[in-house]
Amino acid sequence: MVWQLVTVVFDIPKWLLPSPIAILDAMVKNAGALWTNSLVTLYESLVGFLLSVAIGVPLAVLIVWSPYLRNTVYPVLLLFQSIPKTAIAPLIVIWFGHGIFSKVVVAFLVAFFPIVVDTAAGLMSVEGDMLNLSRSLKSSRVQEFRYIRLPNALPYFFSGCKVAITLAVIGAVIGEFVGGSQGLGYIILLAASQLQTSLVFAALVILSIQGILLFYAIGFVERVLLPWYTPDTSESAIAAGGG
Amino acid sequence: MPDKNTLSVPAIAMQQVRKVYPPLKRKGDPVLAVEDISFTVARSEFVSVVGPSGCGKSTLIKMLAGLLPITSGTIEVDGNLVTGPHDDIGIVFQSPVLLKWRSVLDNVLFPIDILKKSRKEFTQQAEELLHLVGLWDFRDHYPSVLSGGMQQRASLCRSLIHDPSLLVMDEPFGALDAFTRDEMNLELQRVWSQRRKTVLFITHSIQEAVFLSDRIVVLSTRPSKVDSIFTIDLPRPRLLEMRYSEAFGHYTEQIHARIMQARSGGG
Repeated sequence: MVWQLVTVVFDIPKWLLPSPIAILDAMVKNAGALWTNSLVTLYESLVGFLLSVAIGVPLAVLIVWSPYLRNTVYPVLLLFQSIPKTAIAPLIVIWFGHGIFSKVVVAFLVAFFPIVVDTAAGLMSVEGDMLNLSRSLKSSRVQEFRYIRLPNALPYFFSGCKVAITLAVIGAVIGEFVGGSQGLGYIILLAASQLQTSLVFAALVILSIQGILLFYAIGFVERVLLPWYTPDTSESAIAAGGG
Repeated sequence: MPDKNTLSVPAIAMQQVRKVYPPLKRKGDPVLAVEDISFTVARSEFVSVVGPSGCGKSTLIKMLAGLLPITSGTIEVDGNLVTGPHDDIGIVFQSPVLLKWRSVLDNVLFPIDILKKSRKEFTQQAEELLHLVGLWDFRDHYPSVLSGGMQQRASLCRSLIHDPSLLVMDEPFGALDAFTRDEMNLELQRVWSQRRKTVLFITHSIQEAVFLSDRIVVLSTRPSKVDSIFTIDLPRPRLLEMRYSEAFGHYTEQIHARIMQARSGGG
């Protein structure tokens, strides 16, 4: 409302800050193009994200399993994480081409780190006495992971996923910026070069809606899979009558 | 295994047990946690270990469970030398350490999964144990909705599910409030009188130790040694009111005096 008012009252040129109505108008006019291109971006970020889960989780397990790997792989990961992905995106495009795959790779690269770090943290943050208990029963390491560490890591894994999925969308857009002919990032770049600012905003709105929906989708999966997990230390109803 | 008369072999036999931890800092000295501990626990006996804080009680338990190597001396359980974990033992820790993602019943069955035994065979046993401690109605709940006392009861059930002959409890009720603690003491006495396990019970509370035990081992400060051993000659089953009797008070006074002396560096 305020936005609409400001743009009308101060007569701000449309190429500088379009009014919400202008943005809506641009959305409707370009509905077809926005829809197909947002599907492309969605696809890139989802595949990139799934790839980061598929590779990140086993890597986290390996890191926690073996102190040797922890000491060798972790520093390399950290070094790699300290390189800005935006800076290497051009390289990725050179290596993997202008097609969808290079965007998937960039999305994967940005989403990967939080998955590994959070999952590894979850695998390690097990109560010492819980391990003492299972070891006193001669548990094997496989049992230790299966019965204790992996389930314990799930909430951590999901919070990593929530960060990763929003990062994956950013990664896909970066990839499209650097070199591509489709996707919302490409639309933004193209529209901006033609000063079609309302279309840029339209694409941005769709991008953020996409990010939010993906974020909540993960929250939903988490709630279905982890009914035991209560993020807030909720008051226990039964505890009061503890006889 | 040579044929042994199980009645004459003590459930636990510690002989000159000593534990030295490696130095904490690179150039520090090794830390002597346990200097010389020897005592035995008979089958079905309830023995408590009390001592000033930091006297190596938890170290002792870890060595008994085979989780920590013994520097020198020996620990035997049922006549077998402890060299590593042995599954004829149930442990209850100060915190209940239940698995958050398992229901109470599934938590009780946890040792069965680790020991790769059939759940079916032990489900009835688990249900009996839950009945015994009054948790039957909560068998399908997640531990997070239970009170501290209820969680510790679940943990007690879990320690008994594989029917170990030895039950080791490391300050199990230390985190509970006084009333819940009293309740748990009665409960434990009842469970113990029904199941007749050998119990080694670590506690800070002299009153609790006298209330529950057949004998009490008093440890000195770190590096710990056995200071004295008391035999508690009070009739069973013991009632909470007995804590105010003269005989009871006499025991707590004596033990308290020993611990004070141990703390001040004497004895």
